Amino acid sequence: MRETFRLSMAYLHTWLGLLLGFVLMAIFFFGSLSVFDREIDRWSVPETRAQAAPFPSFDRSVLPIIDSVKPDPESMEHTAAEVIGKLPPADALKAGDVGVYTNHRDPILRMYVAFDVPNKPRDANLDHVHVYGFASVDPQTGERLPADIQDRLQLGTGFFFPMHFMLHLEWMELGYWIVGLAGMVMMAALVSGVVMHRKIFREMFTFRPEKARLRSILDLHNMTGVLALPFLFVITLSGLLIFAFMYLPSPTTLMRPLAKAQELVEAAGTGLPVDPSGKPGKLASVDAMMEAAKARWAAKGVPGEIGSVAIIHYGDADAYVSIARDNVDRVATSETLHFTGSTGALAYEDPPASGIRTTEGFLYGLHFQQFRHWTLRWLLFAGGLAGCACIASGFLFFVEKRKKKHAAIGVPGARITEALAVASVTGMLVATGAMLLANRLLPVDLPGLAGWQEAVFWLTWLATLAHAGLRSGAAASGGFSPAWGEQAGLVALLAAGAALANWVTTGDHIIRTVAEGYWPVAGVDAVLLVTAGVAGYVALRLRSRVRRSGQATPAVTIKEPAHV
Amino acid sequence: MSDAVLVLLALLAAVAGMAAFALANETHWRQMLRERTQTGAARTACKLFGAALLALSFLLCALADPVSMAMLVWPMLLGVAAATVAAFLTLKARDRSCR
Repeated sequence: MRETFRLSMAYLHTWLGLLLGFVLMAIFFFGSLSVFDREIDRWSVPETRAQAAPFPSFDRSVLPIIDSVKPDPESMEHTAAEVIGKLPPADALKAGDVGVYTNHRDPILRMYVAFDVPNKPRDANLDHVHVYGFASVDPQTGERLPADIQDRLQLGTGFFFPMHFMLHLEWMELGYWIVGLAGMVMMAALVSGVVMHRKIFREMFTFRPEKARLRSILDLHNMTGVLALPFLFVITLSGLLIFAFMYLPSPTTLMRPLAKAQELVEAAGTGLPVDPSGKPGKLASVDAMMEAAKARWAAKGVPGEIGSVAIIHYGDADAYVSIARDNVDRVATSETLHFTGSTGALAYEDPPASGIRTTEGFLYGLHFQQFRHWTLRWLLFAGGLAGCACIASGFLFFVEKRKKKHAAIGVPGARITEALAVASVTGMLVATGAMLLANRLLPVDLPGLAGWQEAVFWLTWLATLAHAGLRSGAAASGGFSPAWGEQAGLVALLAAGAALANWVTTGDHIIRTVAEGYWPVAGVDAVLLVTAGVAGYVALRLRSRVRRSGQATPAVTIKEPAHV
Repeated sequence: MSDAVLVLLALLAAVAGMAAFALANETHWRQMLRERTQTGAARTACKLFGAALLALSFLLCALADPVSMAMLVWPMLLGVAAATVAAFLTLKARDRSCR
């Protein structure tokens, strides 16, 4: 019975892992990059390379800008498809809510304006349909950033982060669903992996690179999986929870009347108006409210820089202002303070979180990582890469185990899998490197600059798949695909090239940024250079291996480890 | 003591703890201490010592940061510590096989 169970778990682990492993590889890799999304933003938009600064004066720097923010054309298009009838022209829309936020790693104050829409939604469950407009403010000067800089593609928050959670597949929210499915598969793979790994603790410290290839790959797969297991499990679980509202929508669909009633009961408890009064009203000084919030945090002895300010029902007599702090000192987000807009008096403070809310806040917080803890940030980055190593070694094990057998009976399974694995491991790195290089080399006044960078990324990735397929002939005869080494060499060139291009186009070389202590750019360059070094070394090792295997086929028969 | 020093000490305690756990394993014991046979008492002692060091590591993390943060830092340090011990054992094994 036990063996049957273990075998069925092994079957599940192998095939589900293979099927969704390609997606998981991208999720984990771009998730790791997203740990440093703000820093990659600075690297990719050099005009914004400044030290992070505290929130500027709201009354002087933000309020005058609000009325000049126009609805974003893309958002107009998106909302037009969600509502019944034609949307009013952009100029006729009125701002409803305004949100402004930054954090200790961001030298930009980001701002959105949610414009009210009179149209009814097509889907009755969408009750907060808005059109959004965006603006960015330089907190050092309090000036609005010019449109060409504000709209420049910030690779960290604008491309790698969305790639992590929705793969840029917006149609029918398909990307979110694929990522959710992959997350479920990851959980199943972790649990089934533990069940099938007989000597999980006994072999926790065992890596035998000198043994037969299959054995050493399996050691690496087990070791990266077991040592990073707590991280992999919790990060996957929390990722799934973040989008649980989408995967399990019944609280807002089937139980909608109940949810609405609950919203009203909660609002009654807080005294904060759910809907605007419809009468225009004046806003008291938001700076004074921010000062009051800071004084409250100082009295509690917690770090008290402002993280976000939201004006709900902007311009209405019932407007209120919600202020939250930049949670540098804790994992979960903290309680928000709400002020009455017309008087500036504190209306309500969120109560201390319940046990369930605390757990939820902790799980969300550990995934969004807004805290100030650089050691932990690097550890989480390393954890994500360990996840990538675990998945990549899983592919290798699958391929190596079947390669000779498939070659003997003329089945292309291992060959196809290896080509896909090459594209999803080294190919993904090549595409990322090419995008970073394109970011530095394409002229900033090129029309559709963001689209060009994205095109470079996708087309390069596609090209690596074609390359992996064309070079997979060796795998068909049970050999080792030269594509691994060739693409690793390309990764080295692109990573070093991107760091070099950063120096040439901005003058910020790593010695300078380190000497000046500008860590966001120094850190990205350092990772690029380390990547170049490691990938170059791997490329050379693989080249000599391919040469050796070309000269002689090993006469030893490899004893297969007990594993499916 | 600065937080960075505390986290570094927590890492060292975790490495020592993981090394003790590795020694509780007969294969690694033989690899490190060839001439001495592993008794049951030695194995238990290694495990207890390892657990105590890992607990110490958590305490140091909790001194450096709020407990909620320490709950993230500590398991990540354990991973690094275990990988360090594994790398040491791998290099040791390779060293021996080369001789």
